[in-house]
Amino acid sequence: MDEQPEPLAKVQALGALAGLELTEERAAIVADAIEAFRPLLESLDKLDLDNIRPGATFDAEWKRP
Amino acid sequence: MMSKPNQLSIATASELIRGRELSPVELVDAVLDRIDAVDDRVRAFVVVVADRARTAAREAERQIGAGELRGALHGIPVAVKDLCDTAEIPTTANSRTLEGNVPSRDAACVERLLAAGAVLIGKTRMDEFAYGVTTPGTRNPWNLDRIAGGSSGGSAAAIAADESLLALGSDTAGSIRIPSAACGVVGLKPTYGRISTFGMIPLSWSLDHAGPIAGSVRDAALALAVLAGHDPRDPASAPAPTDDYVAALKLGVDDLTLGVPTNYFFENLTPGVELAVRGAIDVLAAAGATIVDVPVPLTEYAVAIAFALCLPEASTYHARTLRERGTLYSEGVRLYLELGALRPGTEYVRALCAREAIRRAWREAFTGIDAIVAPTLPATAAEIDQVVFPLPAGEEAIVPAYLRLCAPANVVGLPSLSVPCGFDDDGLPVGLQIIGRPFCEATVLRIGEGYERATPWHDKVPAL
Repeated sequence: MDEQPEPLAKVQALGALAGLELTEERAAIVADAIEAFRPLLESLDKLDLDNIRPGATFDAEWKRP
Repeated sequence: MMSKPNQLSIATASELIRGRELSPVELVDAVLDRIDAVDDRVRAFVVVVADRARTAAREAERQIGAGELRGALHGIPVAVKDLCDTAEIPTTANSRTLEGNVPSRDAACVERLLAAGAVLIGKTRMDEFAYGVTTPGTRNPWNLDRIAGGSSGGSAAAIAADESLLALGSDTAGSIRIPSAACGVVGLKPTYGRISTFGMIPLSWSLDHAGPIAGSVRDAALALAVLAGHDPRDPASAPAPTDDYVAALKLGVDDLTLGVPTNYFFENLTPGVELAVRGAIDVLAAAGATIVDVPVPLTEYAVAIAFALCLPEASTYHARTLRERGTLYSEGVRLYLELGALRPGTEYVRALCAREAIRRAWREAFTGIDAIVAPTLPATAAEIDQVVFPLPAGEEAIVPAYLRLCAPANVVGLPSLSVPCGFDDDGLPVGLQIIGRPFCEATVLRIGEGYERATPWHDKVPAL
């Protein structure tokens, strides 16, 4: 399914949740930015991360053999 | 003495100071004179604290005269990126939102330098809150019609223009290495947690690093020796033991194995960058290093991970200011902050998982090698107002082009050094990037020193 641009009302609603009062003009600018970044940010959906949890730190396996 | 004091390396100046052949006052005066002579063109500094610097230099001279030499940085001028807190000196991160902000204490990295006897000479220009790669206003000393790179562009330009012997930068996705490569100086982003970021205005907590910018690898090692170490005030600070970074420089590279990436890092470079970096790898091979090809899986996701982490982390830090005084930010930064405030939390967690996936993949890639050697940037310094680079595979915007080879080391958290490795056909510096294992800065510096010893690039100076 093709991605659709974020409707301005949705951007304004999301902004309100974040405490931002976005005018229609401002929401349009933000919506354009969301669209511009969408391919990059959603590229992570291609990764198989089912068995991976965040928060690991460097371990002994990094040490030189 | 052949060179003017402001043109000396830290190593040489320190030797001369120790031998009472150079006074810290003379050195600081030379640096301040140089700033007076060129900084109206380079515009590396936002604040120069000349009186304070002269007072500190006189005190250093007195201490050294009394036999109280504190080490290699005693009496050495240092410039500090304007997101590091400096007591009683304005710290604005180049933002109108911080106009009039005068911290009451120093950032940990500044504290360490001053405790070692370094002399603070001023604060350097940067992208607003480090959210950029161009350092608007600062010019590249090699060509004043070119950008210095960013976001620590003022720090790198100050070193390239001999306006300081040492500078501090910060690096979230390349902000030390990008301007260091563009300005032909040495920049070190250490392992995540190696240098405390306490008292530095954050951009993205899980990606932020502090590090030195200097004129040579040895000078970067001398600075790291002072800057590295655990700090309980920084939750990310690592309690890992430090090494003797300067002693390691003597060891050469002939027992080291260096990996040349077979994917990602050599894609879509300008011919001048590729020629210089391949030539640098040949130099390291001739110096005795074993060179092997190595795939670096998942690296193509690093920039996406960096943005998916940085956008919400930055917006979290700035949430209140964005709500209450959002129009004070520059348009670009405001938009990044609004964007980060609106992204879903699931995307952030997914990026954290993706970072772990790339860490695992890189850990495998590092099996049997000591470091990766690659370009720092795909192209040299852009012209002022240039929007895209014409690269072999097509045009690429400046921001993603500058980030794509540097961001992986931030996402994985590995130490990464940029050293000058020649010039392109436009006479602009090219950077060689050396990425090491976690907490193996000593190895990364060894490789840089091994390369530097065999080449003349770090001795070249721009004609200003």
